Order: sequence, then C-alpha cells, then structure tokens
Amino acid sequence: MPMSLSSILVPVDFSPNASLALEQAVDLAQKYGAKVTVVYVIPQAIFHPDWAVEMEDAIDLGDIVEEAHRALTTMVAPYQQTGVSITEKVLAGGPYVEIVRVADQVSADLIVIGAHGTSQRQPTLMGSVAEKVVRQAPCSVLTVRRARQDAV
Amino acid sequence: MPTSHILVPTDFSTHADHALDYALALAKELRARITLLHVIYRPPMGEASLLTYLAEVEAEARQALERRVQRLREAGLQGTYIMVHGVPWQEIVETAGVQKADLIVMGTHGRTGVLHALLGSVAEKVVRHAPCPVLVTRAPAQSAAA
Repeated sequence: MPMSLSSILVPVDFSPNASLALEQAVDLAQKYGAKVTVVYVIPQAIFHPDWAVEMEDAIDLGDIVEEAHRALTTMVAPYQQTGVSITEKVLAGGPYVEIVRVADQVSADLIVIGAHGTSQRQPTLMGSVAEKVVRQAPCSVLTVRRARQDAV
Repeated sequence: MPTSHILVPTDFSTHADHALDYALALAKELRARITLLHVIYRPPMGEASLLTYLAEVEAEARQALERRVQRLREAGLQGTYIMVHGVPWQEIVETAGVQKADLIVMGTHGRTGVLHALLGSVAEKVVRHAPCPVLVTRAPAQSAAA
C-alpha cells in the first residue's frame, strides 16, 4: 500500500509557506494516524568556513537555539488540541543535508515542505532547499504553496 | 484549502505508476478527482517521418492513458486524461494552471549523476514553477536501495 503514513517530517523556516506546510502535515497526520516531526535547521552553511571560529565567539549559538525552540513551540501551539503527536527539533548545519538526515532518523515516509510562491517573487530560504530535498530525500516530498489566486 | 482536483503527469514508467497509486489513495481520502497528463516530447526530426512517429506514439499513449483512467474508475474515482505535445515540465505547469489543479502528484526517478540530470529534473522544475502544491513520490524499494 503506497499510502501508509506513519511519520511525517516538516522542515520549517518560519515563513508563511512553512506554516501552510505544518497545517497540511497535521491534517494528513490526523487522517492517517501519523506522528509529526517539525525541524528547524539553523543555517550554518551561510558562514564561510574561515569565519567559523570567529563566529562561534561572536554568536552564542545557545541563544539562537533557545529562540528557535520558542518559535517552534509557538508555531506548534495551535495544533496541540488535534491529538497528533508533534516533536520539535532544532539543529544546526546545511539545511537540506540535515533535513535528509532527520528524515532517515525518524523513518519519515513523507516530507511536507513550503516552496517559495512564484507569484511572490520572494524566494524564501526554504524555496531552494525544497528543490534539493526533492532531489535527495529518501521518501516522498510534498511541496506546498499558497494558491496564486489567494495571493491578492 | 481543500484539494479537489489532482493532476498526475505520467510517462508510463514504474515511478509514474507508483505516483498514480499514491494519488489514487489520496483522492479516495480527499474525495478528489484525478486528471492524468501525458506530454509527448517532439523529437527533432524531419516532418514526414515525424508525422508517422507521432501518430504511433499518440496511439500508444492514448491506450496507456485509457488503461489508467479505467483503473481510477474501477476504484470509484472520477478520472480523465489530457495528452499534449511539448516540453514535459512546461506543459505540466501550464496544464496545472489551466485545469486549476490543487495538487500535482508525480514520481521521480530518484537517480543521481547523468541519468538524474536527464530524467529527475522534470520533478524539480515542476516543483519550482508549479502554481499549486506538488507531491513528488519515491517508490519504497528505491529508498531501500539508496
């Protein structure tokens, strides 16, 4: 049966399309009795390797992780009443690499990810990440976006 | 955002049929209708031989589409098909817009390297340009082999 859904992974970047991805993932999870893992990857790839040491000094990753956890908790809060088991994860690294790694870890059979809306002309970080995830994922990938008609 | 119309592009490969299985199960759950799409790629060749070639390809594609639509109907779903000529990813994106699809479900070959560059890129281009959500399916056997 191709539609056995037991583990859904939702990589988020706190953009509107990411919220939409979470909404759809929870909806599917409810229908199929799946668990949901929401992951935010603090993008470290944007730092040049030579800066790494300096950056570690300059930026306390602990604060960012804490802040990301808070943002995830806020994002997940409206779905606490749905009865769907939602796990939050904050990681640091190259976003798509970490996403694919977590997909393996949680044996995801579906990844739901926000795509940048072409009408917005505002590619989010997740937009290009979504394409790389589609290419590398060990499972099926649903890319979601607001319908063009909605983007008034 | 209810999903009531699912577009399933197919090249009749096993990956595409896996995507169709997925879409079928999803359509049952969501009570959606399915439109199958097959894009006939126009190879660069002389006009005379092209016409013969296209006639053959079209006849085969039509049969393959009708068999799949039959499957949908046997599953109690509403299904139709569309056959067009052109560059596959462009026609898929275009058709999704014209037909007001709320979801595209398509398979990927999941290959890497040269084969990926040739085959897998259709899904990626559709993901980039589609006006609606896109579900790219990957056959379970593939992930085990990867």
